[in-house]
Amino acid sequence: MLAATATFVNCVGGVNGDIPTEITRSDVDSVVRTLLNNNAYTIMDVIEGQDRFGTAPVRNSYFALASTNLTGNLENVNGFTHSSQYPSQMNILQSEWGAIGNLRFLVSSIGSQIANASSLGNTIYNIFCVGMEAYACIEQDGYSASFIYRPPIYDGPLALNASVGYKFAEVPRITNDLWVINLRATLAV
Amino acid sequence: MDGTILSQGSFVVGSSVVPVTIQIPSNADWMNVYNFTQMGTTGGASANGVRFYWQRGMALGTGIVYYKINSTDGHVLNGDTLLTGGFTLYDPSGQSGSNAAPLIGAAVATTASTNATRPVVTHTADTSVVAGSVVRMSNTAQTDVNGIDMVVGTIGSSTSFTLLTATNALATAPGAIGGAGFYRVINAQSLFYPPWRWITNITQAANAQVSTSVQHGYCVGQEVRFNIPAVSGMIQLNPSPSNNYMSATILTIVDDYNFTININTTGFTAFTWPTIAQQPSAFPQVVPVGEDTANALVNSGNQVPTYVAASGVQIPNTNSGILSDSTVNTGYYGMILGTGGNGNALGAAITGPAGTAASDVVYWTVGKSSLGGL
Repeated sequence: MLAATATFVNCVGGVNGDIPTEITRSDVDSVVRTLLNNNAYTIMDVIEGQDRFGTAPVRNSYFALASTNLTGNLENVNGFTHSSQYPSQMNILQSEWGAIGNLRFLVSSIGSQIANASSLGNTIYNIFCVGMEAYACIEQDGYSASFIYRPPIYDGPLALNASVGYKFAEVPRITNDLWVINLRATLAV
Repeated sequence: MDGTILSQGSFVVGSSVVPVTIQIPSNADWMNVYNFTQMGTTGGASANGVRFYWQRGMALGTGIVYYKINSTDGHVLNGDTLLTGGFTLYDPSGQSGSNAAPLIGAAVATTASTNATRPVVTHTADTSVVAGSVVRMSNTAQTDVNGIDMVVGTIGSSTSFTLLTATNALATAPGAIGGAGFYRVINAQSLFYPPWRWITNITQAANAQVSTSVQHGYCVGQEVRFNIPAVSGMIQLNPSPSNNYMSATILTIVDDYNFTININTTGFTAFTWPTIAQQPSAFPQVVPVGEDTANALVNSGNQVPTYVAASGVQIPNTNSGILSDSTVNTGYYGMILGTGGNGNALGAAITGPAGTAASDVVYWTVGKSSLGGL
């Protein structure tokens, strides 16, 4: 839903020669600046610095939802802090990879991507940068989805065929388009 | 259960014959299409298809056709198979693999593209592109055209086509000719409606006209916001604190690629298409954000989302009227009915299951077989 309907900006600060380029600090700063100008609230609070070796404080942050293929590129961005270097390991999600500026990155193997979509025909990765309550999922009739299996004895008079199906009763929706930005990037070469 | 008809329907051909996508059950094994109008008409100078049959296992774009031709008796049915322009499964999930139209077609090599607001692309022989196809260029020297989905306006020959139509040309030329590269045919629409679109031009007018690179599918009364990069000039349309995060209401739908808005842009900076020299850059974009309900109530009869108005087919799963802006998943399993192509035996064109002429009434049935294989 976010890939089809959200505002996007291309990464342009990189040097891989593609359009969009790989993600850089200037691209992150541009997105954060836009979300701030649009009065989007951050989702996560500050993680205060502590006297622990190798750690650094983490700013109050928006979430950035990205593909696991971007993890290497994220670590090359100026100012990246891996989640293992947060002063506190409380309130870290299983999928959290790290933070850059005011973005905390959550990665998934099914993160959004568009094949053959860049200027050089490479895959474009969508990084959804979202503020608080930027989008919602509305569940109807009290449930979100049902997976329905009918064994053969119930599915036909001769009990020959089983059937499997599913149905959804939920609707995703952007609640304020100013609070979500799709930052599009390619991989560094 | 064998031979049980799972679904049926009909449609009326719009002002011109264009490919029609029918939503069908995901496990359908066969489909019949009957052109009611042409079945009751004598054959014309060319071969008019009147009945069509598809069964799972047939190659993409093919099908069995019965047609009339005015050779000796215009009422006689002849039989043939369509080489192209027949039936093609549509599955935006990609799970049907080679049994359905690929979401993104194979790369076709290009040799040149002109530096014009409607670039003419020269390529190796390829007949998969037709007027109305959406293509995505890559690897050419026109880096400001690469990666942007654009509709094909006209077909020059089997080795050339023109990007964009006369009504949605780029505001300014790309900046230089494009050399060798590739294009791919894009067969899938955005999974969710209403989708964002790239903007190719915005006029400076009391009610500005916005042009998009592919069919927009929007309706009168919908609200949109703009994301115009500095390289495209007209940044005054962008939402900002100084303009109270401005959005625009769509006043009229000019055609599949153009609409007007309630913003006076006569004093704004002229809109330009980003040039090659300005790359890398962002590209101008329009994003639907809601609905002007007062406007929608007045125009509720006009609010039927369609990508191709001439087809007369509403975008599946979308709502009409005041809820036409609602976010809906438009993913569905379907069948693309083609406009016809050469018959294998006839060696000449036969009209396809999408119809023969404007106002044709076409009926279809889709079924599932419980036994057997390919």
